[in-house]
Amino acid sequence: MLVTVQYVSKQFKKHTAVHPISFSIGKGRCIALLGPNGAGKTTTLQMLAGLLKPTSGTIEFVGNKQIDNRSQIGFLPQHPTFFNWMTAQEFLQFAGELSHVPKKQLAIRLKETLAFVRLEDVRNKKIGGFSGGMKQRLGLAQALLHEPELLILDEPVSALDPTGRRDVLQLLDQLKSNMTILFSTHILHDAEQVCEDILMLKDGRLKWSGTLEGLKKEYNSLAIKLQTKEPINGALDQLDFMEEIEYVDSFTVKVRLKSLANSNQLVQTLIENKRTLAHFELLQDSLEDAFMKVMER
Amino acid sequence: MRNFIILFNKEMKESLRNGKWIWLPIVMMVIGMMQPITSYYMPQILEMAGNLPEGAVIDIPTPSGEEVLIATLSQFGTIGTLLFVLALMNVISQERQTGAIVFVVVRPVRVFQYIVSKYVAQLFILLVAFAAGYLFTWYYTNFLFNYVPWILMLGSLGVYSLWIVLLTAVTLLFGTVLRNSGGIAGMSILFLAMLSLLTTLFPKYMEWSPSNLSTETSKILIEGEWGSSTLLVSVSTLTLSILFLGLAVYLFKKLVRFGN
Amino acid sequence: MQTFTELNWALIAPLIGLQLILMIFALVNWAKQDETNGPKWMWIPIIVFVSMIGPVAYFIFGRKNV
Ligand SMILES: Nc1ncnc2c1ncn2[C@@H]1O[C@H](COP(=O)(O)OP(=O)(O)OP(=O)(O)O)[C@@H](O)[C@H]1O
Ligand SMILES: [Mg+2]
Repeated sequence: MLVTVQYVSKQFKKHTAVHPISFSIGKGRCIALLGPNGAGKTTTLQMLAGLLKPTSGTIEFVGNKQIDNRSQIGFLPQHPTFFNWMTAQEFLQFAGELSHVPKKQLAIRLKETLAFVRLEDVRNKKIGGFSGGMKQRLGLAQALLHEPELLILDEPVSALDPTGRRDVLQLLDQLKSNMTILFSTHILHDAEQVCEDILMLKDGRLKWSGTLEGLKKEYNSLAIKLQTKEPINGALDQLDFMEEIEYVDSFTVKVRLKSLANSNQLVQTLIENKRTLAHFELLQDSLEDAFMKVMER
Repeated sequence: MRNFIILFNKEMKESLRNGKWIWLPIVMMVIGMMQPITSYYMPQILEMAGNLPEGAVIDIPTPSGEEVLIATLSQFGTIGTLLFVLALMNVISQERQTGAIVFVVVRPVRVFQYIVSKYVAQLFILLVAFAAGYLFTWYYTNFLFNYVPWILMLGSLGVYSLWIVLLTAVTLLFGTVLRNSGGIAGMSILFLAMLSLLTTLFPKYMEWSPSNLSTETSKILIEGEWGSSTLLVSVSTLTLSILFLGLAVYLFKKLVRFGN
Repeated sequence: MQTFTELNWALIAPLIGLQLILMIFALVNWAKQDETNGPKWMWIPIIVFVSMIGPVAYFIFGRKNV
């Protein structure tokens, strides 16, 4: 375990941006913080990065109680703004020095990182003239330059075009093996591409925390689509293992069962009621559906 | 200490890039040398401006070199103060407004290091600008009037520098409390002006006031001596400056938020 | 009127020179800016015709987030 967050909340005057939430960040994991606008993602990440003081609760870096843990963190703000008068190289040099990267190592890291985010060609250009995508990549570079234990990125891809998005997600995928990554996004697909863990936040409340696999499993209640030659006409209405039934037309239903094991009984009931089975399909809930369900919970 | 040096260097580089290192000393030199030159040509200027009747005699006593230097410092005390405050108003507020400060505070940097590095760096620039202006003026004064011993010049320069030490601290203090540049400059000027006003109104109770620094420099230049009052004013100015800086650090920790 | 012909030019040449340097420095800086506070062209007459105060005003108020 790298970080343990316990009952952390944040209140802005009367408005509670984050209700007490608890979760932990495993070392080496990649975690996506998902949630709609105003969910409290930025607030949560800023508290983790030490930019905001939680109203209550504790954030503990394992093995590093009470001590300033900023040196272990790399942080990319949602809307990074830089010192426009610096060149990319100067900025990274400045950032690296402030993070106490030893001189020789910094020279190496600078080269590596600039190459990694593909800014070598413009390294001596003023940041003031950079495009949004270049700034985002520079922001990423300053966050990972000092090889922090924990990389916190606030919506690293939201401001990017599809190519930029893919590029940055690929970069994150490569970084996964070296550091623990926590990044926020409101798009499930981004999370799915690089992360194994997700945290879901809505209205300042933690709706889910765990692995993507776990989410799939838990919310994958089985749906079955059935079609018969004869009208179904309530042949299935009295079954106690039925959770939900939805008539598409008089020959077709979508049903949800308590367990997959009941599907045989379902078919049997149909046959007993003299219906001819024309179509039987197991409907896999997509992750999207699970996501929506959790959010609406 | 390492953080301090890194931040100090950044401040120096920034001031070189944005030209502060050039325009501020030049302006101080111009303001400074204007004084001996206008004093020197005063009779002619009056003659031209005054439409005096034929044969009128203009009799203005030629000022001494010391008096010219005092007049220069008085210029620095008004125009110079305004200029310096304006040159300082963006020092912290701009980084806060743009959000660039986030990249500093997410790293293991103490607020104290951040504020003090800014303070020392900016003070350094202002002092160099002031010294350049004053030395230039001194050179002109020696040339046009009479030689002012360098020890007196240096003494007045040193004592007057304390005023800059204070005004930098005051402006940085308002720079941490307020976000708006205009507000920062306005409040700093207001504060310094109030200090001067109170000092003229209640001289008895305000003997310690930093506004008396100009009186002290005059004393040094005219009488060539610095007494216990010089010490009192100097010590109180330094103490106030340190107090304001401490307050700036405290309030920064307390008030400044980086979120959103 | 004759008195000013006796002006010692060596005396005020540095004064004029410094102001000129200030003006040119401001103009060079101005040329490098993409944007200024207020219309960009407006600063030219201010820098050129308002001696000293013009360039100073430009340096203090003219530039955006440098
Ligand atoms: N400094 C602040 N003062 C008052 N309220 C704030 C402040 N910062 C955030 N909030 C409120 O807290 C809530 C959470 O904001 P936050 O920025 O954390 O959301 P988010 O999940 O990052 O949203 P987005 O996807 O739009 O970035 C919002 O309702 C916001 O209005
Ligand atoms: Mg946000």
